Amino acid sequence: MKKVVALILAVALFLSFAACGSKTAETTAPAETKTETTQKEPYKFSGTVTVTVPFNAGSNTDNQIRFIQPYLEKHLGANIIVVNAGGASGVIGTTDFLSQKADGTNILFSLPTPTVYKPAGGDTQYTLDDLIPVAQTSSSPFYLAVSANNQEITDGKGLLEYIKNNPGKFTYANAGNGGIAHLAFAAFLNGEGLDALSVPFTGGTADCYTAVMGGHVMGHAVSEPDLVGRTDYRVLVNLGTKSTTEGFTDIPTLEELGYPGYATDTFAGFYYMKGVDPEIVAAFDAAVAATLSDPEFQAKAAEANFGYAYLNSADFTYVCQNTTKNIIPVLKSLAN
Amino acid sequence: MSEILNYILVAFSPINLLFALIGTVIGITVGALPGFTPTMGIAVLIPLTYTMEPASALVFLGAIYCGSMFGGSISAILINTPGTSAAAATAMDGHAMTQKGKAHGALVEASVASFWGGIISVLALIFLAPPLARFAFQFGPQERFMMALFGLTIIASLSTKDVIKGLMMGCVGLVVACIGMDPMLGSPRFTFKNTYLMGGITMIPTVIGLFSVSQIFSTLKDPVKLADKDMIAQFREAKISWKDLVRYPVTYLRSAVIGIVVGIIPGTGGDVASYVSHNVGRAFSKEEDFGHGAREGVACCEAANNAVTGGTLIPTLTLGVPGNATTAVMLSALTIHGLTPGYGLFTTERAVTYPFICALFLANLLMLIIGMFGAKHFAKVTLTPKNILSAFVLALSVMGTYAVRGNARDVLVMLIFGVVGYVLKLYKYNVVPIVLGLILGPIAEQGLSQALLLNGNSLSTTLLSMLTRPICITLLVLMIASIVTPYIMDARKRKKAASVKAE
Repeated sequence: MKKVVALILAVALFLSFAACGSKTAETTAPAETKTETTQKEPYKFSGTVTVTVPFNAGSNTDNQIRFIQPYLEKHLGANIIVVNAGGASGVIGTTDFLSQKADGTNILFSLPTPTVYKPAGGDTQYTLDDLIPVAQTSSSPFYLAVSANNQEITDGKGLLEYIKNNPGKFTYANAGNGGIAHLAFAAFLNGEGLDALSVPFTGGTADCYTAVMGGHVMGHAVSEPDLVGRTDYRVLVNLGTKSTTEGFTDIPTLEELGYPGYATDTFAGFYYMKGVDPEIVAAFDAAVAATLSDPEFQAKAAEANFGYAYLNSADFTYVCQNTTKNIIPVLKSLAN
Repeated sequence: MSEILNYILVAFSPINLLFALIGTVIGITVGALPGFTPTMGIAVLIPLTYTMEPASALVFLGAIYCGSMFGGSISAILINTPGTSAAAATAMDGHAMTQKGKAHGALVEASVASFWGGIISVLALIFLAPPLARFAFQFGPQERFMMALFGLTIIASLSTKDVIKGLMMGCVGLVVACIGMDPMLGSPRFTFKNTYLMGGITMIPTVIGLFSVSQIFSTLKDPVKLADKDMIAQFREAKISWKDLVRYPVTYLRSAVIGIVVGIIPGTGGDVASYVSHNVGRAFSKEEDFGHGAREGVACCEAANNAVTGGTLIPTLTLGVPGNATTAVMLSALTIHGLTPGYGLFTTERAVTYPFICALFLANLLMLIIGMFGAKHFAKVTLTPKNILSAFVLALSVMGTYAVRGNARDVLVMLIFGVVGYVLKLYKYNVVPIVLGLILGPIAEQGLSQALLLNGNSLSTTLLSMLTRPICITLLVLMIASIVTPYIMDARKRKKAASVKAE
């Protein structure tokens, strides 16, 4: 009798596991293929669209897509399944994404690291040309900040003077060499022939912050969302485009400090793989545009302090290509 | 005082009680399933909390976090398949206890130790959060390097019988940890132009392969045996006594302190904490079979990894610096509910923070109750005939490994490590040092490289700088003690045995 009970228990245990597992299995099942539309009407989505996020669940990129998801589903007229495929700064997920069917049911949502920066560095088996930028959903600049306790460096001008007078002495934490935060500042230093020491922390923002506050490094190249609400930092320079976010509008850009042409921003957006019908690309782009201008979405975004900035396919493509063009010489000279 | 009472009342309001209970159950389940991480559980459930009151939402998420840390130990103890990487250390003593027919005791101890670890860390969170958060700043590159080295000395105590074999396995772990992106240069290394290898060999497939799959292979050659009468009788007799609640008070406290400290330091979590605590515990333990089925070993690991919950929340709530991936997700939940991390949470926004902390107490209590009374039923898994159980465990391992990030190649890595683990065990190699190398290698490498970078790439300056830092020196002393003690204890044991023989 006990044996039977034990067996039943084991089966029940397994079934409950299987039940939990089916959720994930479902998310990765290939979405149904749609029949081609022959009419000249705008393309209509139906069934499910699988969005690959090449970062882990709970990451910044993942949070962005999950925030947009319900509104985008409404304007797309299709269900969205988010698949997280993290690893190697997004390169693994992007490579896998590119091997999927180019029928419009698979789309990538990513930061520029795996789509623009890693291919520019030649570390990937694909290039930016294998991707079609569909629509940008958000964009924000990087900043250079020091601890609020720093007596020596009090503003952007002071920082640049300090670096000029003490070559190689200024140390700044960033989330990894070759990552955007590092390149945002390194591109400027490199272009102006200045010398400062980059100290990479693969643990990300938390690691960098601890190192700055503990006095182990002096500065931190950091993104805007990571700075919101930080009172023990002194933000010195905006390394990208002038920000419109409350609390960041007064921070001088490199251009305002007399060094134009170095603006580096991070941006999130959707990408299709090469070969997707232009009509489908236009339809998805239109759905993203409608989502981001939806008053309901905008109200919720304001409430949750969620930043968004729309660019259409053409403009987004230009941003990606221009970033690639600007970063290649920097990567080359850093490699030497 | 009346204010505190008020917060407790909020936390214990029926609706929050319900959320805490649901959260704890979800947490234990997510933790027990290999491959389903607490981070994933919380990330997926955050949208559910959008419509809740901020206090209820945090109560719910906090309960998942606490529950999952304990849940991981259930599968580690019963089927040698750690549900979370934090529970990998628990499998050493916990599963050995199961093999000796003491699964019930191991599970009860795991829930009791988890409870104490959790409670002590919550107390630290309430009373010591601001000063402790500042303590994390002291951990620079040098300190982290030394801490990782200290962790690696655990190999010495794991392999007193054959040091060379232990060191060999440690080196295998360190080499495997090198695969992927170079942390300093950000370029691929040992990847052979393979995109998958760029992501490195990750923890979950390796641990499941080495621990669980290799064991399935081992059981294949055993004859199929049904549970005998003695075992069934044991379950009937399995009782919980009041004594079980505080069997090792000193161990709980010591392990909890280790867990809190490790939790506060960003980048290190439950996995590091439980191995370090197990190693420290060995020096103090009087139990002969420590590391091979000692109840106190389970207590060390579980108290430490549950104390990590409070530890990681300290910098998360006071500074907005998440101590690990799970709290990073919790942090985003905080912001969605309009709360800004910082000292404000402990002053102006107390009305949300304190019920949350009170609810963590509650979650730990619920976890204790579920764990202690559920142990008898969970443990019945061991009555399942081995061949049937193995099939389930294999299916579960494949599913869990795949679920982590939806990559089928992770499953392949798991199977490879399963075969590797099986062969190594045949030749009496201990596979735990591989896991240690994999966890601690990257921390040590990055710490040393950064320290070198900041000291003008001069090794002598770097080493000197370590000798001027109090935390480094403390760790150095601990390191020496950790290498030497196992030998002294071994020698003493032999002497004792010899004198017993002489008599």
